[in-house]
Amino acid sequence: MNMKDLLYPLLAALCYSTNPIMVKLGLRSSNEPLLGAAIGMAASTVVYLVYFFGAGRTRELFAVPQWVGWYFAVSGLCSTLGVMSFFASLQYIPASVVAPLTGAAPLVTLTLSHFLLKEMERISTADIVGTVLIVLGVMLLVIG
Amino acid sequence: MFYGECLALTSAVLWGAIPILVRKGLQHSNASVAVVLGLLASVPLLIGVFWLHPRWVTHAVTPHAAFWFAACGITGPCLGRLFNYLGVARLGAARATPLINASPLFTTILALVFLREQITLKIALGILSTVAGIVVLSGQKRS
Repeated sequence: MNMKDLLYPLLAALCYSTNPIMVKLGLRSSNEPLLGAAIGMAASTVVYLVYFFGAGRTRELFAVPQWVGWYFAVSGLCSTLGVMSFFASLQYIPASVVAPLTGAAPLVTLTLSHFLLKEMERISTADIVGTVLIVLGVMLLVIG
Repeated sequence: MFYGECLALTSAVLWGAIPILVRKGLQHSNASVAVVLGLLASVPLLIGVFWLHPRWVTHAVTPHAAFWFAACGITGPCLGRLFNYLGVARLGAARATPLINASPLFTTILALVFLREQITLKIALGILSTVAGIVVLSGQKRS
């Protein structure tokens, strides 16, 4: 793996890292987490659709096999339902308990990869060690 | 009983399944299309939230708060998701996901630098463990 390979996941991490600060700033002004999440999703949908259709990429949508379209649609639903479930959990338990539990998502991916992506990805010992170290580190950071 | 824990674990399972679905689909398409279809699929859910909420959104949320929520959406579900899917396409689901989930490392660094927050033993160990995980994952050859 070289530095270029690391660029996209770390850029994604950098984008996501600003979210808790922005959510905090928003909630300080209006304590409406569910509406806040919906506003964020609506804004991202509008911006991305304007970019996508503005760039003349409409044809790419129709070139996608139907089953692939369903996979992508379900992934989007998983993301939105995950956000709603996350906010709902905060109504029952403190954020210091919620964050380490949701931080375990890479362990779910690692397990599912082993069973569902056998033909595409081989899981090594280093993958397991690296994932566990990051999950533990993230748990310490969010409760620290 | 345990409602909160179950809901938080549901989030982890849902978020953990996303890279698997995306990785399977990306063999036949690209990350941009994946983002568009994912966002479009969530539109009915968003309409449901706005419709069923007891207060009208313009009454419940101030423009200042709406600005920050929208900014969060543009950096997270928009840009973040695009880079996320590009990472999954390049590295695979199992390797890209823990790196993407290392975002609290950046949040902590931003908070330490800009908000001058105090560094505790747990935070120091967390930084060390996360960086070690990134080094272990990035030290491998691509498969």
